[in-house]
Amino acid sequence: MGDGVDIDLYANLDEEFTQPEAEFTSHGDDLYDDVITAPSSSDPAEIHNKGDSSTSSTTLPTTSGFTGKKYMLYVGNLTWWTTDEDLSDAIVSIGVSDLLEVKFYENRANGQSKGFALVSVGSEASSRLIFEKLARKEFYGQAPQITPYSKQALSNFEAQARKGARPPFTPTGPPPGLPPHHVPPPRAGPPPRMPPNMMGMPPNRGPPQGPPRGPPPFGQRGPPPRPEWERPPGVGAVPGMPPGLPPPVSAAPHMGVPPPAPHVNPAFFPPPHSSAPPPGAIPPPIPNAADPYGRPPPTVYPDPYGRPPPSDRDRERDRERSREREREREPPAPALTEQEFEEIFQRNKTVSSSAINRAVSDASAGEFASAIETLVTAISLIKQSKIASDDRCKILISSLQDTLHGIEEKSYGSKSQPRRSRSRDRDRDRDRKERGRSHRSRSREREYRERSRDRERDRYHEDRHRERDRERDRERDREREYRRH
Amino acid sequence: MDRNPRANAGWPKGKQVFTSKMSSGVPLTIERTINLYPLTNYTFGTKEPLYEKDSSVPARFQRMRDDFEKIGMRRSVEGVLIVHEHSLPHVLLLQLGTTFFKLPGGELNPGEDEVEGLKRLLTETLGRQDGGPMEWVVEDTIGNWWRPNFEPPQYPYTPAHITKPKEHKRLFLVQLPEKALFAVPRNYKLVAAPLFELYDNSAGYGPIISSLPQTLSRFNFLYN
Repeated sequence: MGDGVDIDLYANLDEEFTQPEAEFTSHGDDLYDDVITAPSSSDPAEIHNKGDSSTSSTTLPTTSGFTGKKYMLYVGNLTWWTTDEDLSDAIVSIGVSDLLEVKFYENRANGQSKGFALVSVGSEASSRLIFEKLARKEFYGQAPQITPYSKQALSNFEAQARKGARPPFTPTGPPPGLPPHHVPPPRAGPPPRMPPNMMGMPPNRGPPQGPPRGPPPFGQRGPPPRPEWERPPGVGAVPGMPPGLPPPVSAAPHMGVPPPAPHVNPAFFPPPHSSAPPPGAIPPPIPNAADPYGRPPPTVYPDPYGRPPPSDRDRERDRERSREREREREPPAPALTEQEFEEIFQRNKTVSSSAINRAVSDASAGEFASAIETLVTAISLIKQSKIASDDRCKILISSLQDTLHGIEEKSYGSKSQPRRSRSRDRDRDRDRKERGRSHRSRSREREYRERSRDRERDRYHEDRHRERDRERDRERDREREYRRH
Repeated sequence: MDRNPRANAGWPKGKQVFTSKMSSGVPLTIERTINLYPLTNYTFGTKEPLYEKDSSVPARFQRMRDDFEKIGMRRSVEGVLIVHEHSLPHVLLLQLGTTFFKLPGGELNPGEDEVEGLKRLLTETLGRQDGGPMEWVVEDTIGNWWRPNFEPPQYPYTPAHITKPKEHKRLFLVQLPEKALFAVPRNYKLVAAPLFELYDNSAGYGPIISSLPQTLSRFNFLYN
């Protein structure tokens, strides 16, 4: 199971601006409960889906009250502008009369569709019908790819969404290799609504811009040059750096100069021979620096009641943690010596065993959310370590995952427990947050993110999305650096 | 043409200009002047607690689903009330617990006018207890946010694949009178958050509130 979960956990490169408006996430576990208590939790297959916070349901025909058996399948290879309605209309048009739900997968960070959706229908016949007939439909020039509802399929789609690296924006100019200001002729579908020279996003329903998107199954997503924030799967490489390198911090100093981020004026870049990291690079660890990110000290502002802004305290804590992180961060090392390897492994082992212990005890106290968080955090810590690909680490990870699955299963059973009042929820959240924090102190995540209370609460999701998060955070750090220069 | 209208419009702190509208004929969408008053001009009392309609986040989303089926997309409005301290705008936020902040506002009733609804909600939330009239001046939209699903994320646009967003939230600038008395429900605290506190701090305040410094930057504030 290990590998499947692996993909599942990290498939979602998103979540940055995810924090939902505070009031909706003021109870982190509630958000996560939302996901867990998603419809049809009785369906064993649902397990694959439950933790995917980036799954967003676009319920068209409402499913509320539907108690019968659901038949689910994935429809993928859709452009990001294929709407819930496009899909449901098409499904209805091929004769399906019991469509229950169309649930698009989205990048949580920005809401963009990942180009695939979970479709639920009320009968096997409808499900077969979709397999037979929907594939022959086209959505904006692309044939949908229909797969059974399986973890494998989800992983594939997630991987496609990730690899395909749809650019965050469509180049207003032509794709590389085409003359400027010339929109490639549409391959199929309606003509573009946009005048060729118009700047901005492509028309909602126009044909794909950019290079003609071929029939190859994964072709719909953008031109080949990979935007710097797209990360190769499974490698926490610094944006802009070639994939497959060691993690950011250790990599930066001896990597030569990574190309500037798009938003950084290249003029500010030092010549490549400079030994100092460029403004765009992740700052090297500054042990014990007052504030590695150059933020001003917390400002106590007068509020009408003379109380310090609460976030200051949090932030101070975060700062501390981030210092701690900086300290604990492994020094850059071109290659791991045996000893370093062993050290890291031991640390991972400790992380793993203490996480399991804590999770088990939390779970037996009914604190499933907390237990799950702990495990997810531990998994990602280990996965982020330099030796994550080592077999022994994989074993650690898989035992964490086993525990995680066990607890997740168990947590289903406990959903009937009465909801607590808002305030109590909040208190508990805080409490959990504290614990979570200490546990996460080694995380390489950035202060920016760390100080997030929403994120803190949303950790269960967040860990699944942390890769993208980190990318974005790095960008921000770069920005900060840039501002400082 | 005056290249820097602010130079004589009270931009350097200290000068006071009391006109609320530019008389020069510059369209208000180009130069929008807003008077701000010091926090100390306002008095804050307390009143009985005002509880949320929903006891939990899941309950909230369940009600949103139910309402969606009955009356369609939820329409919410929120007010951005601004004061100043040391000539820096501060946004009034309702604080619940220690880390949760929100703008005053709420859900509109079906068919209710946005501005009227906002005034109603502001009065419910912050109106004085003696029922004295509140002078809420609402003339500017600050932003719009959409919730694509019955889930927490909200974006300042509707993602392209979404045909039926579940909530539309509109933020308005609320101009405060020079002096006023507010009554704050006991379960909340009213805090004045300086823009620098909010800026780039979506971690602490969520995406909506933390983007206020950017959206408010179009206004020419006069620090009275």
